[in-house]
Amino acid sequence: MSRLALGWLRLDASRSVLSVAGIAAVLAVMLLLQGVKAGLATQLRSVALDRGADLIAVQPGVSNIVGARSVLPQLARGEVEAVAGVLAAEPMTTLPLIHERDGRRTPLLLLIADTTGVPRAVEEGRVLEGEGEILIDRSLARIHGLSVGEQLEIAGYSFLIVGVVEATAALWTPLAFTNYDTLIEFYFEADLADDLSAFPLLGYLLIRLDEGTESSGVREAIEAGVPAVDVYGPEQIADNDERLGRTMLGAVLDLLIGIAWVVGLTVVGLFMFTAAEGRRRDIGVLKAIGFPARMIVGGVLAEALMVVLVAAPAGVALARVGAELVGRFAPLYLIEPLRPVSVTLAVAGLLAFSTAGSVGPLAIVRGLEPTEVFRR
Amino acid sequence: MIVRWAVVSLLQARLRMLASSLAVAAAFTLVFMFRAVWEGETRQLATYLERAGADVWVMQAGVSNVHMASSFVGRAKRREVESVEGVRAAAAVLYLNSMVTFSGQRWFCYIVGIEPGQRLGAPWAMAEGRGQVQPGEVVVPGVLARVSGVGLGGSVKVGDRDLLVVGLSEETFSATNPVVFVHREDLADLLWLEGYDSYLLVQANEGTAPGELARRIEAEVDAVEAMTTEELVESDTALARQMGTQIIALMTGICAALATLLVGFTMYVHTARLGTELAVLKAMGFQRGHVYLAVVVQSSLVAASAFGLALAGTAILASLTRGLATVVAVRLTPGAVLEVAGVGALVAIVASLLLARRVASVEPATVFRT
Repeated sequence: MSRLALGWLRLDASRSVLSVAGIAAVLAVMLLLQGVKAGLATQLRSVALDRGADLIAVQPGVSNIVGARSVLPQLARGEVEAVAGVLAAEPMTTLPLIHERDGRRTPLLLLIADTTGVPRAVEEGRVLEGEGEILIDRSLARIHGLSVGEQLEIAGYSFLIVGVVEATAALWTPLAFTNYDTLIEFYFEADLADDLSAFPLLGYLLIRLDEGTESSGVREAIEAGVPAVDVYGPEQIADNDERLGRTMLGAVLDLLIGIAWVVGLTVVGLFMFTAAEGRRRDIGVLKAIGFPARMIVGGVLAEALMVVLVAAPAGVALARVGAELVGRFAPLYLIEPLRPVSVTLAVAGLLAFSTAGSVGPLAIVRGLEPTEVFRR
Repeated sequence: MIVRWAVVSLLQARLRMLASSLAVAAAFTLVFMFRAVWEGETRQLATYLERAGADVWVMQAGVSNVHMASSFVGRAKRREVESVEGVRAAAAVLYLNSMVTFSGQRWFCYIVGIEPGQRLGAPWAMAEGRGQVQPGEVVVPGVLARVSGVGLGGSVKVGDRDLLVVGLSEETFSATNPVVFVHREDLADLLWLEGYDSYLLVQANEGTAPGELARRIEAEVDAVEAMTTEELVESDTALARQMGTQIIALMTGICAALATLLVGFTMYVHTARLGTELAVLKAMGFQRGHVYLAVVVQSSLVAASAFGLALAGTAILASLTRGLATVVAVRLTPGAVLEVAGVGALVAIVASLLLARRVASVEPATVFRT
């Protein structure tokens, strides 16, 4: 049967290549879509996890960094640092802003911190050193054609771009980083409002602990001693931010992924149906010269299996290339297509549907008169 | 004659053509659904702005959005705006984009702080309960109440405080940004903010054009931006669209490539079966250009029938989505249909070109070999 299948595949190599390419493309589409959801979660999680804190203090009732506004009283920092086991509590503030250039507007989340919290490594340029400087995400640089040494203007204030950082977007919004001196200057010089008391100065405290200190104990001590803050581990905030993404976009993405899977698997079934139906004459000839039905069915199934087995790695590779291309040309979106569960499920689905699609035309062949194939 | 032959030969393989058209239609349907879901959700974001009852929105200078934005204007600005000629009424809302917890499940919401008796900016259609809130109370979208199981008399958590659900509003739900209404003081406490509003909603006197009024407000009141509702809706939907433009374009490109492959594959299988007939055509004196034309006609027919099937499939899927997944808004615009039609035409042409070499290589003498 496998020889028969191989024979068919070799008989028309171009058709076989097209079959493999089509099924690989379907697999790649399914994995890429799944990868959009996985990448969104990774991006959201990294906002909290990449801040370099052992614990994060937030306004009571707030438990996120992304999509949240946390304001803490200035005195909270000293109170937190006074708790035993706390090495330092570094301030951090977030400010949602919109950058407009040449009629194109992009929302961005500005993270303000002095030491802990800002990236220590950049893809291009250098880290923050002085007043008026900003680090921007690669995606923002690409969207607006910005580079190191240029100005980023927001609300009439010009930040000097000193570095471009990699992969710091969340919820399809790029992050940017600056320090507190720049924030104060921005508040005073930008066309924001007459009175600046509405604008946050201290949003979060990034807490680092003394070496060897157990974080849960310190957390309880801070919450007991400083009622103005709630305290979470970075993992908890990351979980909450990921959940936020699921709540906001989960239904939309799940619907699209579901449709893509249904469509993809249907396409594969129809694809194999068309391929097998196109071989109707060959199958009819085999039947006419006395090949047993069992062998013909086995040959058709083996052909489907071989096509999927070759298409699967090609599809995975295509998905990986697609994700890398997206990373290069549209870095706002992180696509992680190669989660083992997604790949396994997709390949299993392809096998099932391609088999079902291939077997379909056999019913037509069963009714085919052996003489019919010699009539043309 | 060649066109007639192309159509007839295609119709002779009805079953295969149907299967192929369905497969290509599936790829187009995927593109349609991407666009329809994105457009539906984007439009839903603007519903509050359109239905809040304002002709003009006044906000912090430098701000030109509600979506993904924050705005703070001093309370005194409201009086200044009210004194501008052409203003019939003005009301203020506090606004925050943040998490609201419905029986353990967090939703990212537009939280709007209003005052009792306020009509501008307050819920405009109620499914149940009342649209006015006192401190400690909240109005939530009816859809969200249904999905989360929190109804009238239940409580939701905004920030660190539990608020009593007193009303279920209509037309205020989107999967990405549902709108909840709380008392202004509750939101001010949550924001640790006194003496500020976020947006001023202005109604114009009869005979006063909103655009003219917006320009007048900007000229007479310092440090504010004024936009007509139309401008603000356009600005917000443009921003939301821009956030997803690249990913939608990417997915459209991937699905178009898939559709091209499928049409190409179909035509390849078809022309393989018609090898003898193509050879006869050449032997009869038809030029290579005629044979190309036949292939282009056939590819176009497959792509066109797939496009029609995809439109029908999308309509069915959209109505199923509305019925089953009430949390996702779906909207297919004529522009999206035209764009996908353009992609379909491109697919047919590229798929035909894939076959050009094969068609060109058919030898007239082949006809005598079989």
